[in-house]
Amino acid sequence: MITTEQIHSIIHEAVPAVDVSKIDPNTRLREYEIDSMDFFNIILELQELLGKEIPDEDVDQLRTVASIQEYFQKNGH
Amino acid sequence: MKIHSIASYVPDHCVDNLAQAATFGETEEFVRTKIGALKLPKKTATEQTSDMAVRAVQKLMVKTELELDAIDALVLVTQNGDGHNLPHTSALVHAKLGLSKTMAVFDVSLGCSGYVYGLQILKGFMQASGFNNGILVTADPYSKVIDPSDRSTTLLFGDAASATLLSKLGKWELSRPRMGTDGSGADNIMVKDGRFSMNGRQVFNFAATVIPKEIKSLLAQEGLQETDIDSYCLHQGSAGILDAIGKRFPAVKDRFVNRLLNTGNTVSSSIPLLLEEEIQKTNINRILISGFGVGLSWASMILTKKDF
Repeated sequence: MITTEQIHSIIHEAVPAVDVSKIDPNTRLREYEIDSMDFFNIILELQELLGKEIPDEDVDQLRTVASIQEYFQKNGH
Repeated sequence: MKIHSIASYVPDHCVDNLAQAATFGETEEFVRTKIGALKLPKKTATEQTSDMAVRAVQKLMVKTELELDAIDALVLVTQNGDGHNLPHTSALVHAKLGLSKTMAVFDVSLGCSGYVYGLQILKGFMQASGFNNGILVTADPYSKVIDPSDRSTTLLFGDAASATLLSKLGKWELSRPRMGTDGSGADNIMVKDGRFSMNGRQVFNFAATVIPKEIKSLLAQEGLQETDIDSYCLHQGSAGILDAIGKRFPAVKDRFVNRLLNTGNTVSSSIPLLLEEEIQKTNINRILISGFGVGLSWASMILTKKDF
């Protein structure tokens, strides 16, 4: 299980300018001025936490905080 | 064999990268912090890869006052040579410079790891052949294959060439390199049907995970600490990639050179463009270089000023 706090921490590390307390769990991260390369960074950190590679075709499942949690649950975390 | 001198050629004509990014709806902030380049030099339509290489070598000749007939070998790193790469572009450079017919000239087909590979190839080749002066040239103009409508690549790459003189009289010693290849990722950076394409996320992952480990392993191999390196001259893939690697070395992050601003990613020329300036600095005695990209391929080594 990955917590909201863990996800917020990863987002904050990748994009310090974003106020993570204002992120709605069901709103796409891109809406918070997180650009494509920030997103690469976030996925990289999520991958390290998950302990396995996240394939390109799964990336679309990681667009919101809630969907990231759902993805981790599906993948045994 | 040591690095003696480096010269470069950067075309005068540049694309305004902010204006180009605006057409894709990208912000100035994104260009400055993630891409890193405000200007991207481009060769003219009639300028050949061999012409760029010739310009770099000519500048090296002026800088070193070396006579052309003193050159024993010339190696050109490129994957975007003249015409269809047959003949090898270095032969065309040889003809345009009017070099001696008794010298060795050949191409090396590598991308962003090519400069480090090229140094090692030329050094070993010269030592085995008893040569005194060899020139490593890089010239890989991606403007030949970039699709200007592809937002994921057209903001990144600039054209440039470099020429490095290796000689017994050089000052910068080359360490044993670390090299690697992962051909299973080859399709992440490729030209297909004449058009360059790149899987940005996979290339970012590769650079951010493999290269920090490689740097640490190289330092361990050479018995050095991170702080023993005065300057980290990594391939200038993008500002975002440099940041992602640099942040894994918090104690020396400010020693990671970012000079993308006026050139962008110039493929195998990006490291020598940095070194051209870095080796002139009196306070720089040890430099770590690392190239990574097409292949996937990577190579790193440490340059140490003689008598340091």
